[in-house]
Amino acid sequence: MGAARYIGRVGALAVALGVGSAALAAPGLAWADDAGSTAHATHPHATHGTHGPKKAAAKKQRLKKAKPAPSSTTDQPAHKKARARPARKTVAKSTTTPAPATEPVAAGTPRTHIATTTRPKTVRATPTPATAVAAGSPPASAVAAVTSTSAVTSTTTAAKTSSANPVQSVAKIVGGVLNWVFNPTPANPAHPTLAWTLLAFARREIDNLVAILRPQHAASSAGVTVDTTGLALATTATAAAAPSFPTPGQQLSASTSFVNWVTGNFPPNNTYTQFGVWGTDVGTMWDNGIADDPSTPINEHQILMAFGDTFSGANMTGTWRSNVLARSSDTNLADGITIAGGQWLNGNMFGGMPLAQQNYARQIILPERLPTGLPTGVTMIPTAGISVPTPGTEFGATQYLSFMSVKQWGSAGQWSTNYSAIAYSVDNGENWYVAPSSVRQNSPYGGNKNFQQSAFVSSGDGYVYAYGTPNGRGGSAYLSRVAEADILDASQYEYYSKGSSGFFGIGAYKAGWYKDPSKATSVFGRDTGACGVAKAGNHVSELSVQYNATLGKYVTLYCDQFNNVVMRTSDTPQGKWSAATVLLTQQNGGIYAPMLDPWSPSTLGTGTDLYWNLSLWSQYDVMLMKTDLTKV
Amino acid sequence: MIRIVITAAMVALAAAPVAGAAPGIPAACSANLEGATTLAADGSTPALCTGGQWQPVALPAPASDRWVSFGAPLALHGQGMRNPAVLAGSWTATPLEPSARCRVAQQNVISPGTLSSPVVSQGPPDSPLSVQVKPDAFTVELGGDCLWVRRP
Repeated sequence: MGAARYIGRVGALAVALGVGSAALAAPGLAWADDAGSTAHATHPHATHGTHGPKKAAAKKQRLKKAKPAPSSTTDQPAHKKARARPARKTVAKSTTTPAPATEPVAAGTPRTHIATTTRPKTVRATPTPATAVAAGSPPASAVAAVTSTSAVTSTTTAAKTSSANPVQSVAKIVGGVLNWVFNPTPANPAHPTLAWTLLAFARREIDNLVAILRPQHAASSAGVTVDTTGLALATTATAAAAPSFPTPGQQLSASTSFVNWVTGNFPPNNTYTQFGVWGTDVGTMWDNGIADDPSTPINEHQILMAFGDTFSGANMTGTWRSNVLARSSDTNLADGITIAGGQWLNGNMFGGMPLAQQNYARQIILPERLPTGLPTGVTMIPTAGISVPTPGTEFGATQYLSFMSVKQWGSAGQWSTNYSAIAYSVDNGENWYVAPSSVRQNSPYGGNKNFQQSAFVSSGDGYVYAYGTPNGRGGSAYLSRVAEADILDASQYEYYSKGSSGFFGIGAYKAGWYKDPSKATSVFGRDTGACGVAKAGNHVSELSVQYNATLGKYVTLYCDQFNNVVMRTSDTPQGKWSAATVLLTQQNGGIYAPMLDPWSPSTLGTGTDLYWNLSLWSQYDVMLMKTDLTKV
Repeated sequence: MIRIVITAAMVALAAAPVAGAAPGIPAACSANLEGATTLAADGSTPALCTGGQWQPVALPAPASDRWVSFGAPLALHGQGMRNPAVLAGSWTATPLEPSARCRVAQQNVISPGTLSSPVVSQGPPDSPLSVQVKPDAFTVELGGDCLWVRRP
């Protein structure tokens, strides 16, 4: 079966080369090769600094340990070199709201609570026994044609040099012939449109072939690195090829490009084989705030990514989970995000996803753990996460995840919620509980209706800032804040208002922070004036907010009423926010939920690139995108 | 000469995908199906009957009140899933062929992550079938050579 699939791919390439061709002759042709990522590899990735300006500076002084620079032999997925470690003691769980161990911090007293390390993408070069291969049988209920390879026994690092790839050699020869066909005059600049069309087609086919032939991708799909191309071919033949659109590195706008897929039944993560995740969406990200323990093989300092409705089969079929969580210690985002390998039945809380069984992720927010009397709705979709230090707990940090209980989905961009609430976890997202005090009913009365979807950001002044939007995608953004220790108590939040002049001065109040959610006013996403509704960014959908150290400003991304991904900036959480700048217009298939990566170089202040997750409806998977802020 | 031959072959190749924009379904649609939607053979690409032709619909497609199934079931989502293809309400299926039997299998959300067993309804040959699609319907499979219409 695997061989047949390989032949099919070659056949497609043959068509592309034999008929479509101008591909290799065209001057714009470029291999989708890792060579392109070497420039990024030189970025000094001081690990995360997701939050406020004060924390960003403090983090640089708290580098825990220096890791060797990434080399050409260390670009394998980190989890491939990780091994299961002895089980940690599991913290006893309670279904009641935990008493955060932290004391409220006075405004203006920054506290750096996020662990800081500098490390290359590969966590630790440890021997990988064949038994650690994360290639198992998918759930019986899953709809897929993925098989696993267990014959791999060699564990040396695969070479990254492209010269060893036989396809490239063949391509060069064919390219010479095709160059003669389409470019008889060496200086001819005018390629026919058709040639360019076929160029793209042929290039895509070649890229797809090369992608599945690459030794490093073979390692991704099999769970280990191998030292023979033949073995890699045998291994990769079991994994599906990535979608033809977009292609890794593809520039989708002047500032923004597609980096690679985060989820999907294909490389680089093949989340289907590893976790039974064929398709999912959202992928809101935050830093777990847990320092690496150097005595363990896994890097505990991770990005956590929470996803929405998740399926084990194509086209949203197979088994369904309302939400799942992924973890990654990968700091080199230039070639994508590597999700850590799974950890099953060993007590380790730092595997790629919380699992229900080996190679099958489980739902993290469970209906049976909702406070008594709350309806479950049809699904519970994570919208924002944040870590807060909780000294005295096992890992010293508690994870908080805001989610919405969806009552009913409507036409595109419309849905109604029952409420939003916050779940918490003291074991790095392995087990979650819902705090009754965090629930915000979606009532037409009061202001909680404007906080049904969230975005968290910590500014370093002791507050967690929580942005909110109403259900659906037709609203604007509102702002609240709360002391970190009170994040689970909705009654302790303050809401930003631009003030009111009242009725002839009666009932007037000034701009500021109030404990009444009904006083919250829009901070962005509601442009006024005759042409306000026609402006980009006028409606706010699933949003994400971070402090960007390179810009020295808060940054938000969201999709607007035209399904553009737009960006705004501000000096303070409440604004005034800039006008919306379009980073990416609507794409074929439907894009939504741009979620900022807190380990972006520009967020950390180490570069100008901004990375973010983006969901593509047609594929129903999550992509990693990159925006060059110098080109915005 | 060879350039001409190759170029001609490329033209044919480039034209092929355009003609098959909605693979697996007839190119033409009859007047009684005007405004109805179906799925291409890939199971995910909606196609709308417009001007006698099936035209692919950009994703995410809006919910449709008129669906056409050609034998094999169309696997659609109700309002238990983002971007539903069918909305809750009363639906009536009408066979397009005398021998056709309309069949629907519906799975509803019990709680997030848990679905009911499929509830199947099938009409007799050449007879309409009425079915109620619930607001928490997650999967709705429409089968048989039938036109499905939602009553407002």
